[in-house]
Amino acid sequence: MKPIDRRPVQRKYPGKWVAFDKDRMTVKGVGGTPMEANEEAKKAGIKLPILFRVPDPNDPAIFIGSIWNEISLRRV
Amino acid sequence: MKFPYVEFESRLKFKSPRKRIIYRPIIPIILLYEKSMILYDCLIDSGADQCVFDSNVADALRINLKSGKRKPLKGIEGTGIIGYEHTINLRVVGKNFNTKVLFSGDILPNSYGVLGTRGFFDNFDVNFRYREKYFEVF
Repeated sequence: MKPIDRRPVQRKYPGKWVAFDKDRMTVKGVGGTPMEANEEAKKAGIKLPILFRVPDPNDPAIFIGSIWNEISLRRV
Repeated sequence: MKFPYVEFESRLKFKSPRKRIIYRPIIPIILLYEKSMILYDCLIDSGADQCVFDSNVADALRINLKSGKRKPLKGIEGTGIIGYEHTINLRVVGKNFNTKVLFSGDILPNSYGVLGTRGFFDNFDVNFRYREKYFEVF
């Protein structure tokens, strides 16, 4: 199965909350909070957008057990 | 139900522009609290004891964060954060149930909403097919 590619969204909206259309790829709203992204998507006609906070692709930390292991990577 | 993995990129090192590709099992779930409802893409994490969401999500659901039971949370590195427990309704792949989840304002910006054992794995089985880049939730 083809993965959902979030890399373009990461490059455009790092650290932001985004609201996707039902395809889980088309951005319909962006904001600093889920409410802001949700409102923008609703104005664009999406009744129930999919909310997501976009991870910053420039953060080199490795994600383990919900924690970003930043300290060990800074030693690399 | 089958879901594709979600593809991300992350820098290899702070000083290097090179990036690695990462695939994560993320699914959209509906969170309901009283009359508020949101659809939220969350990470399936069998290593988490409970479902944990950002406090911004509590705000979106109009939940008074600190009215919940205060609970300490710890990750692999041992530094504790604080979460507040609330009972909400989750809808996942057509199944609807109430469960206790945690909301925290201490979650790092690059983290995800997490679907852990209590509230998720006690309601669903997951068949991870990482090499084929999909997983099934049933």
